[in-house]
Amino acid sequence: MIRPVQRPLDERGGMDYLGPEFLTWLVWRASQRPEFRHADATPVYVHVDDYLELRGERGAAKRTVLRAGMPAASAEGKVALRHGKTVCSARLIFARGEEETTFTLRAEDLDVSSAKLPTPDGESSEERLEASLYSMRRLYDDLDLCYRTFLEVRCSTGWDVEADSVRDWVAQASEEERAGLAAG
Amino acid sequence: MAFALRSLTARRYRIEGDVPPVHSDAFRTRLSDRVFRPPSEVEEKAIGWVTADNCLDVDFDSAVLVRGPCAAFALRIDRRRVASRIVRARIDLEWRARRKADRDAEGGPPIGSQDASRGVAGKARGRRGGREERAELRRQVTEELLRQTPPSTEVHPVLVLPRERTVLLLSLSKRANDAFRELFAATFDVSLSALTPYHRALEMLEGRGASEALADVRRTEFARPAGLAARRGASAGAPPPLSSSMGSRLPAESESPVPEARS
Repeated sequence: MIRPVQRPLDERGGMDYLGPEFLTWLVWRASQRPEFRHADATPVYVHVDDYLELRGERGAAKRTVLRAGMPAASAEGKVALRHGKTVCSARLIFARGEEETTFTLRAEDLDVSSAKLPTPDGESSEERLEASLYSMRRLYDDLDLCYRTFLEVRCSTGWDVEADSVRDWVAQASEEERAGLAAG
Repeated sequence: MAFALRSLTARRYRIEGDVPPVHSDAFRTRLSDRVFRPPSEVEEKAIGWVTADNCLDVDFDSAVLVRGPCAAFALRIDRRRVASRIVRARIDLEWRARRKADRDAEGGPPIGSQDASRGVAGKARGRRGGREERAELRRQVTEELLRQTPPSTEVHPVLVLPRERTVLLLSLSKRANDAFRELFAATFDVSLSALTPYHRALEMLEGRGASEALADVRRTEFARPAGLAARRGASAGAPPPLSSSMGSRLPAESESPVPEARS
């Protein structure tokens, strides 16, 4: 028997590009102004770690995967962006005070994977677990802060200017390219 | 083997509806109603809740559910899978044995002779119950093989954050997520919405009229058209197009399905 579907057919609302656009913007923003601020003025700093995956419009058939080193500053990353690819997955570092959380963000569904939460303090395993759970909640708070900041500009008249800044950054030579040109 | 959160891989859902408070007996009772029960000998799948600390423990009355800001328990899925190739092979052997037994009982020609194959084929065709018999044989063989196959077990922790009205399944497997949503919805009479970028945008833009705010959003191209990029790039210090000097230094951009890797 075919049962009725309870949930919407397309949970991405036909806007599959929204997540990759956010992550591309976040990589740009991390390279320009890595600081985000919560409403209570707590700062969060975003950095791109050692993994970046970019995809073309038609998905996996055109994929660039960059591992190790500083992929956000690499020539290959910039070249992929200049070819119209967007960042679909990235390993990020969220730093809040002394606390650092490293995780991989998959843009299409905002899934978090392989998050390395800060080493928890506590005498007992129960206390350490609670500390980890609070860290996990902070991670999602920080992620929401970044996404909210993106949406505020994305759905405003300022997006054209912001997108143009991202395009300028994409067009600019990466650190690797500049080093290569200088050497050449 | 207490539950510990060393690394986190999770999908987040919004709870649409009211879940009993996580400290309440009602919450425990709902979980107890859908605890994991091992599959019977002939069942292919069983699914239910277990405690976060131990996948064999289903006693939610005495279990510690609330941990810090959330309630923690786990989804357990046991599956038995019999390879279809093995089922087909066993049916074939069994079918041959039955036909041989029929022939022997009727004193027919020996196997391998032309008469024998004609006789068998004719009989099979003429057999009214042939199809039903084969279906019954398939059912018997499948059940027998299922009895001999130990189930595989998956356990995925679940974290309910009441303040945020969210629930996390610590797995990104589609199959596990589908099973989880169905069971969670049945347990608490609520539905779950995956917090995709679109769904999260609807929530975050609610004060601005989410649908209207998103209505004008179109895909943005972050790459400049080639000619414009060359003109603007000259002033921004960008390298010349790939076809000239950069092409000789950089690896060519992948146009094939083979992913590029850099290590």
